[in-house]
Formats: sequence, C-alpha cells, structure tokens
Amino acid sequence: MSVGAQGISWWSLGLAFLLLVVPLVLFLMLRVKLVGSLLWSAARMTAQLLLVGVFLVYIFDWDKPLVNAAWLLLMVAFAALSVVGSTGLRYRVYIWIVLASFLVSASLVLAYFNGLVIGLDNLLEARYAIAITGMLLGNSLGGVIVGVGDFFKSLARDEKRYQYRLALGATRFEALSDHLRRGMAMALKPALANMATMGLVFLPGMMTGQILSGEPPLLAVRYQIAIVIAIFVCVSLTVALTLLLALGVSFDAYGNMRRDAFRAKRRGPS
Amino acid sequence: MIRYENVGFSPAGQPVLKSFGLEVGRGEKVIIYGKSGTGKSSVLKMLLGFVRPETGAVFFDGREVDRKTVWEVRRRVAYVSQDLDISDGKAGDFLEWAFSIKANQACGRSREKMRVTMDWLELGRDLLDKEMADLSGGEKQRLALALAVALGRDVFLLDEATSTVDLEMKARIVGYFSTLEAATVLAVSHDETWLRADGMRVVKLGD
Repeated sequence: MSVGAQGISWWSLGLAFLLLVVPLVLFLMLRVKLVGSLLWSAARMTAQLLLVGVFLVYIFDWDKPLVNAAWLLLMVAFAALSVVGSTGLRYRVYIWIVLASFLVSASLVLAYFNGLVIGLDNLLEARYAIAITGMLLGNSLGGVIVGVGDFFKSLARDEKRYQYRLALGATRFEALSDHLRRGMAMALKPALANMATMGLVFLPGMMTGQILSGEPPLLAVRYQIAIVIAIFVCVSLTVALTLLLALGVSFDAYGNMRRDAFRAKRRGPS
Repeated sequence: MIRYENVGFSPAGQPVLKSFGLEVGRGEKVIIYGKSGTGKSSVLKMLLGFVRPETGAVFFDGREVDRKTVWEVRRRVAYVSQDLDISDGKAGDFLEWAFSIKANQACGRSREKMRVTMDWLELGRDLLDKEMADLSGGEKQRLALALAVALGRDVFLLDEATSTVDLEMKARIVGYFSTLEAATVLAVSHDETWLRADGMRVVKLGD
C-alpha cells in the first residue's frame, strides 16, 4: 500500500535552506537582532538531526531491546535536562525528580500505546518505540516546562500568601493546592487548545508524515488521534509526578520554601 | 503560654534581636512596639516557624517550637499578617478554603461566626463575591481579622493588624482584643491606640 514519500536529495535540501534567505533579509532590513540566533539554531538543528539520523539507521537495523531502551533513556535524560535548564531549578536536586517523572510517565504511556493501542508483540520495537517516545517527549516538553516553571515562579512570588495559609493551620499540601492546580492548568492548556483546533488550524506532523509516506489518510488520522491523547496523558502525568516529588525536596521541615531550590543568582525561573 | 528565651536573630548578618526574652502568660495581652527594623514582626514569625532563632529557643504551651511542634502551633494560633496580599481569587472562595482545611473543619460554627464578625467589622456580604485584588487595604485587613476571630482560637498573633483602618474601627478592634476573656494576645504595633489600651502590657524592642 505504502508507496513512500518523494525523496529529497542533498541538493533539494540545499534549496530548502535557501528559504532562510527570506527571514534573514527581513531581519537585516528591519534590524531584528536574530541573524546570529537563526544561523546558530539552523546549524544545530541540522547537525543534531543528521547525527540522530545516522544513529537511527543502525539502531533500526540492529533493533535490540537493550540498545533501544538505552536510546530511549538518553532521550528522556535530554528532556529532563531541558526542563530543569529552562525553569532555573537546581540541577543537582531536580534533575532526578524530572528524570524519574518523565521515565515513569513515558514508559507507562508507551507500553499502553504500543501494547494495547497498536498491538505490537515487542513493545520496544525500534521503529515504533523511538518514534512514539520522540513524539511523546517532544510534545510534552513545552507543557512540562510551563507547568513546573509556573509552579515554582508563582510560589517564589507568593511566598507570603503561602506562609499565611500555613499560619491558618494548613498542611503544606493544603497551602499549595492553588499553586498545584495552577501549575497543572498552565501545563495542559496549550495541549487542550492544540487538541481542539487539530485538523482545522493545522495538520499535525505525524499525520502529515504518514500521508507523505503514502498511508491512507484515515489510518494517519487514527494514529494522530491516538498519539494526541497519549501526549496529553504524558504531560498530565509528568507534571503531576514532578510537582508531587518536588514537594518532598523543595521545603524544609517547617514547610518553608528552600532558598537553594533555584540555581545561584536567580530568585525564580525566567 | 508563649516564651522567648535568650533569642538571637541576625538576618543578612545584621543583629536584630540579641538575648531577647519574653514570657506571655495564658490570657495575657502583650503589645510589642519599637522602631522599624527592630525585629517586631520576626518575633511573631519565629513562633510560627517562618524565621528561626540563631540562638535561644521559643516555647509554646511549654514545648519548644521545632520542626514537629510548629504545625501544632499553627493550628492553635490565629495570625493576622501586616502583609495585605493574603490571597487571590474571590474573597468568598478564600474563606471557603480556610474553613475547609483539616485544621478548621472541627470549628462547626465558624461560618456563622464569620458572618457575625464581618457585620461587626462593617464588611458587607457583597464583599464575598468580590475579587481580593479589588478590595481596599482596610477591607483585606478587616477580612483577615474577621477570619482570625471566626476560627475560634484562643491565641492571637496580630502584626500591625489595624494599620489601614480608621480611628473609630481601630478603637473598636483594640477594645475587643484587649478585653477578650481567656484569649492570649501578642500584638505588634506602634499605634497609640494599642499602646494606651487598658489591660495591655507594653514591651519595647530596640533602644
């Protein structure tokens, strides 16, 4: 059934890069100081994707569960580093929390998706496990950064309100309930908006990829619906787990927020 | 009821409290005054565990305030902060939250008492539907006072609790707390109404 996508030669890829001349000229004309950032980001993207592409050729070829699991772990580690880096939290403490949260939520969702939704015999089959985990983590990342970041940022800003609630006799969890709810809502709102406009405002990447590969549109749609639900569950689980685990290390025994939660020279996340 | 024993406190390296000692008996009313920066608010916050003494200790009902006992202290005292940014959202929702937490669920008549106290403090019922951000400083302060009274606790920690209310209301509030039977009051203020109130023991901090 699959007829495969039309190939892109290196020369054609060069033509795609040529499109970048448009924003570059606009930046220069309007004196937008993003020329360096654009060149750096485009170079990074190209190098990273080429490197991953080369690795994936071998990994798909070998398709060994241990190698696949190691690759997934590496992806989770990069996702965790990205969250902690973006939220300004102290690496030494929070990297383990975010890593554990991503690992648990992505593993559960991946096992359900591959095992029950797609019905694979081998849950770690490289082609599915790596592609699906990439979708889960890549699309969860923004939500998790926003949710976790907002929780700590608002807590640092509203510390007196939090203390007042403790003084009224609240447990730490009761005093933080508003912040926890807000963090979850902030994390999930973009995913909800995405879900509601899907197909109308944009055609999502996974579906587009499958259609380009020659798969029937309705199969692509079913995959897309399933993956969007999986992503939503992954964001919800990761944010909830991260926040709940963070409660254990972000406060002292008196319930006061630890001053060393954030990296040096920063009162709160950016 | 409350005892500060040889307490030293130096935030940011600046000595604020040195060998501070104070004993407040059950049912006693004590007002602490002094210039700003002399550690008045810190004295209250120490009892609540929000700041910790570098030397000495604080005792509540005979037990030292530490990581285990501080939670019990918070369930037994009613605190009014000088900070008026007490919550966001609707005022009514904040009060519902305050009455719903485990520590306050046993106060069966709190909501009724809240209505009576709000009337006494001249806070209209429509205030409950207003956003906290839209309330004036005086309204927020009276709301916090009404809540402190409605919770039915017998130890009050009041930090500049009448700084934004008018003279008549201030006299009413000070009169209430200075004559409140069986209640222990530890207040911080530099206001003459508090300092001259009958039944108040005045403690000066600083030089």
